Amino acid sequence: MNFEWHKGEIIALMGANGSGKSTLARLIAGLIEPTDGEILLTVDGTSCAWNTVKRWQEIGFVGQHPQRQTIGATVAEELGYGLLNLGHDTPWVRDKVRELAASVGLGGKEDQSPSTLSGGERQRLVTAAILAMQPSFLILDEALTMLDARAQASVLELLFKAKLETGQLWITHDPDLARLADRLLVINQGKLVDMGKPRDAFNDRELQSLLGIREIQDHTFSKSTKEGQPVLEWQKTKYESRLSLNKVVKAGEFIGIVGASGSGKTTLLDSAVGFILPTEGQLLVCGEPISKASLKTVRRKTRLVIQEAGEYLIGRSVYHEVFYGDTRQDLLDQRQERLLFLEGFGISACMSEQAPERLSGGERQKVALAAALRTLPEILLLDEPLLGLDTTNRASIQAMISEWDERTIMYVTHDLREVLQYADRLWLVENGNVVLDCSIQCWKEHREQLIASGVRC
Amino acid sequence: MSLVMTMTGWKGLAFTSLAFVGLVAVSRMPLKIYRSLIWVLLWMGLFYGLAAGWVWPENRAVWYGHWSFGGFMQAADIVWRIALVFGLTRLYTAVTRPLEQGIGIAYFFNPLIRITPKAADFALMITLTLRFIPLIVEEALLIWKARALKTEWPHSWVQQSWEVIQLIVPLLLLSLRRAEELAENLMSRGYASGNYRTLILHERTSTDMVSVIIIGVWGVLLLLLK
Repeated sequence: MNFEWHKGEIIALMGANGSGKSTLARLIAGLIEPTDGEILLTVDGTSCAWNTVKRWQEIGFVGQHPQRQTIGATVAEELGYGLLNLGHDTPWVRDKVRELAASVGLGGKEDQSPSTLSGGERQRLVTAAILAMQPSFLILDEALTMLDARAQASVLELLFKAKLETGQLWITHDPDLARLADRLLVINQGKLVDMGKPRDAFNDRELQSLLGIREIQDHTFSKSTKEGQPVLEWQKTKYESRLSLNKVVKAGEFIGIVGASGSGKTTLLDSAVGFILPTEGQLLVCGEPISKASLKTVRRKTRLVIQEAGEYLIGRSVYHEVFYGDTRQDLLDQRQERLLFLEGFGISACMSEQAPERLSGGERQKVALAAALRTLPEILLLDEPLLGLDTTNRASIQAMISEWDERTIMYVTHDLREVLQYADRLWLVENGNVVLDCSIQCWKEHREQLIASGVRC
Repeated sequence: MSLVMTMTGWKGLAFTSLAFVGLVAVSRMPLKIYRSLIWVLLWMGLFYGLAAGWVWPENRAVWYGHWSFGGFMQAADIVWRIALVFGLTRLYTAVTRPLEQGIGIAYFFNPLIRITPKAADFALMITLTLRFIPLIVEEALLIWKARALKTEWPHSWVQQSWEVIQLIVPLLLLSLRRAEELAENLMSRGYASGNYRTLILHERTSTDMVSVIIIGVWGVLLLLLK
């Protein structure tokens, strides 16, 4: 591939899962070397050898996962590490760190461990730490994907402030984010295509179809209220101070669960599958109270897809991962039908033989979904199942979900648009409590409340 | 302090005991934090009492021995020293967060960096360990969760052992991936061997200086009170 990237320019890079976006990012950052060709740094038109500059200072890199970006034991160390490595003296760095911490809303938290911060605060911290080194270029590899709308806005504010001094490469699957960039690049079948300005590019039908982008139409809801038996009943349950619920979910209902990061959405799903047991009240699953003794029965009726399930694959191969626990005979006998099932998730026969660690992040997520959904349970609990997936794969998974009308589904997301077409009800979670429970038809009446909570609408 | 306490005499131990009681009173930590030490010290007392209290003549078998008052006093001395070390350590860990402990250890390596750059790498390793170990524990729990969500846990212990063994490989791969990510993050901030320095924003106050002087005097007194 050939392309140029100028200081002061924001480029959005999109492409299907496994197309090589992260690999390109790591090549540019110098974390891996190309097998052919070279990456040149030019200053005022003159080529500059990499050994005459500090590459790590010239090109900053921010990854996707807030928990795994930080290197310092404290916020101060995180902000100051790069500055100390640049040779600045300690007293100067101390003052600079205090200034930086205050500028990103972390004033007073300098001595805290980064693990005490929320995901959005951590990503702001890492971004500020790298921007403090004044890089000429900054790569963000899906750095905003895991953040709620509020956290995303605060990081974007930092990025736009630094725009003039720092060229930025945003790797993303989100067309709305890509629209904010100056230029759009798309990786398609191993080739990098410059689509020009994103706003114009997204009007191109071919690009829309390539990326699987559909216009979100104003949806008219035709779902009738579900009148089934209760399948999940939280009867004045409390889970220490983490969660407090008094809710009923009926058979066949699709509940969209939204809220800011750290609000308790994942804890809610963990409670439904028995990973945590109530300290007060009781939870009934299909009429049976949940307890240590009844966990086996509960887990037969429920299925949970954990957040970033693709990171925690335990099979020897993709095929083994999806059909984990089956006998060797079954694995051989039903192979053809099973490969057809995998194709429905975009997993080819050749991919099915690979070890999961050889796949890209998005491909691993597809494998995790296929593994969780190969037998459909009565109650399906999905924790951000589309995280890391490109728009085409998202669309196919969403189409699959739309066919499961008879299942009870609880779906956690930061983005309301993922569930608008399918949900019956909407729960907004804040600080371990469901502060809003409305039918999906009425969501617009609560739009301000949802936006204030960091939900993307 | 632990090293100095092995060299001091009974006067030094008495002084340290008074100091310890004073620190416990000032710290306002509940006394139940020392509960776990009681059983440990009782068992140690029993062990050392038997080992040091029973003496036997040379060239005779052990059952020709007798109880010795001197031996019991020696055992009591050992248990007293151990009790003080355990008690002071327990108090230290109760009032100091693991993060601060790690940073403190790394900070004391700073002067050694002038002698060898390896000291900087060791100090960095300590601070990274504070982050990395809890991260790996969290990831292990998530791998366990992923497994628990798949199929029922088997009943036979042979199959259970096989299931646990099968989880070791993905856990190792995950740990290596996290370590690689950590290494990339370090490299992207300019890591080079030997150039780490701890950054502590806390400015030294007069209370800190007084505390250092008190500990210094305490150590010297322990050496003098033999």
